[in-house]
Amino acid sequence: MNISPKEFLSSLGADIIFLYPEIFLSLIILLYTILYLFLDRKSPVFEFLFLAITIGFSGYFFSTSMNQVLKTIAAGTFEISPINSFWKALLALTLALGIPLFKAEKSHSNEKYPLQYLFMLTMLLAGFITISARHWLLFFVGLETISICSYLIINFYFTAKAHESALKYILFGILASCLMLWGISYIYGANGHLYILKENNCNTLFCRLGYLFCLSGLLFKVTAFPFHIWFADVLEGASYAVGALLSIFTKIIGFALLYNLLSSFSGVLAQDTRLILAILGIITLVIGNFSAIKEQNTKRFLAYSGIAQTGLLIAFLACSTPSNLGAFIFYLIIYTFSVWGMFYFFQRHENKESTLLSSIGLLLSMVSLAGLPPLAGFLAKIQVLLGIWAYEATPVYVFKTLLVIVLISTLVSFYYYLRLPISYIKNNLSLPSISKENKDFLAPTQNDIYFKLSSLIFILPILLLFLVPNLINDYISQIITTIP
Amino acid sequence: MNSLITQIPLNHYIFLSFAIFTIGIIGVLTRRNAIVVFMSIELMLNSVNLLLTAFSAYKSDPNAQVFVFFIMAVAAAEVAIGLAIIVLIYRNTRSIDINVLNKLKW
Repeated sequence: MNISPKEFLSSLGADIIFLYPEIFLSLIILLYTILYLFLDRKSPVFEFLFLAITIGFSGYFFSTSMNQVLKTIAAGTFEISPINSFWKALLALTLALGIPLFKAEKSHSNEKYPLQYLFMLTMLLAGFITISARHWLLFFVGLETISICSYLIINFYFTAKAHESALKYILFGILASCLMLWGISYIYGANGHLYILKENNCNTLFCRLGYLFCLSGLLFKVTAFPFHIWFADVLEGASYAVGALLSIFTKIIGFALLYNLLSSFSGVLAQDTRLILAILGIITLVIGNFSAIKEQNTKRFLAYSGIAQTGLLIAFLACSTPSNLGAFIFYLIIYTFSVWGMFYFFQRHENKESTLLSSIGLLLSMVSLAGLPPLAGFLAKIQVLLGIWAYEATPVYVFKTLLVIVLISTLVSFYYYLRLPISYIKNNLSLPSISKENKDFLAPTQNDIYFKLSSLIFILPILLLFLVPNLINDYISQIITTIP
Repeated sequence: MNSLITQIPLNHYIFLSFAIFTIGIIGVLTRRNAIVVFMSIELMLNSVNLLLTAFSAYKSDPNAQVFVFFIMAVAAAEVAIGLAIIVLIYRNTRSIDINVLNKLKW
């Protein structure tokens, strides 16, 4: 496993063509920084450039993911594969969908807002690197870059609450990454190298403990049980756009990495990890759902419902096999559209710009998240439930308990997802609590056609994918066949 | 130099860094001053660095020592951001006590 720098460079030079997307994105970030220094801060160039880059990368990775072959480059530290390309495409798409929210929420100081896009592009680059990483060094540096950008981006709301939530986020974040580093050092001590291999099995408790600690950094990213406390506080202080970014972008990265890591485990290690994930999934589901029921603050409600969704996905990961990965991917795609939509319509309401369209949009995206029939969320949830149902594992009672808890919490979630939109329509378009102090920082009424267009972007996919799920199902099944 | 390090058994390094790590965690959980909390976090990171270096010396493999440099760089960046946020909070509240952070429910 020891490679001299000369060998590494020659290996990198031979495969440099596979790194072109990352190099191109780094150059774009440099260009963006230079533009930020010299251009007028209110210029629309920043938004257009951001949109062009994210949509471009999304299209590039979606189209090339089919004909890629599994390959590790740069002396085994960087992996190119169809599934990794798919995750990268989804990350880029996620950022592109965020534009309507970030545009509607001009922060306190208008001059600073191109910096948000700069940080998001950096997060995208770090996400590309982390997802492909097959070496703990790349993995750690990528993950921390994402964290650092998210710590910074919360502050752009410029309220006392935003700073407070940023401090809480950074404290929890560094604590989680310390635990992860502690785990990495144990893994290094047990294995003697820092590569993330395709087949990881360890027989010593020391090594298994290392992997367990290592999961903590990822569980923090996806807001699973022991590391879920920060999420409600951070979301309450952050703006809607940043809150949505935290609950979608970092979650997708966390789940992609968790899946990558879990699929590389084998033997006793895989069994133990699945059992731990199942138990954590149960606890996360219970905490998320029952906190969401009684929550009166809108943003905290959004956070707890996000934690409940995480619980479902963690439970599904515990039961994942290569064949039912398709359900996971489908769920994450629908989740992306529904959650961006939900945050967008809530933001409209807080801006005092709610119309009939926005209240219907809110109803549709929340019904989709709850998983009721006329929307794509139903298909996603039923696939996930069937995946958990069909999974057979040794401690039967844990996985059967998991199934029961998942079913109960799905029923509970119908209540709290439907309660808000219905009261919203009933009480003359008013919500339980809207914080008055934040209103000054929001943009004035926007162009109506622009609003209708961006609403359609969020609503149309969840309607369309219910009627014709084969639009993406064919693509997903092709991706899955490439997994060994 | 290498032999000097390896004269001490590896277990000692593990116990020492575990002790430092625990002190760091206790500091984060109990201290009320935000700057002291960040110092405790540095302590935790340094215990990881010590452990990685010890393993690295025992395996005579320099990879982990490079990792340690990266951890230091990332930790410096994170603490710089943390201190900047503390300055922002100090401007609002005139205090760096963690207890003043009660605008959001904990």
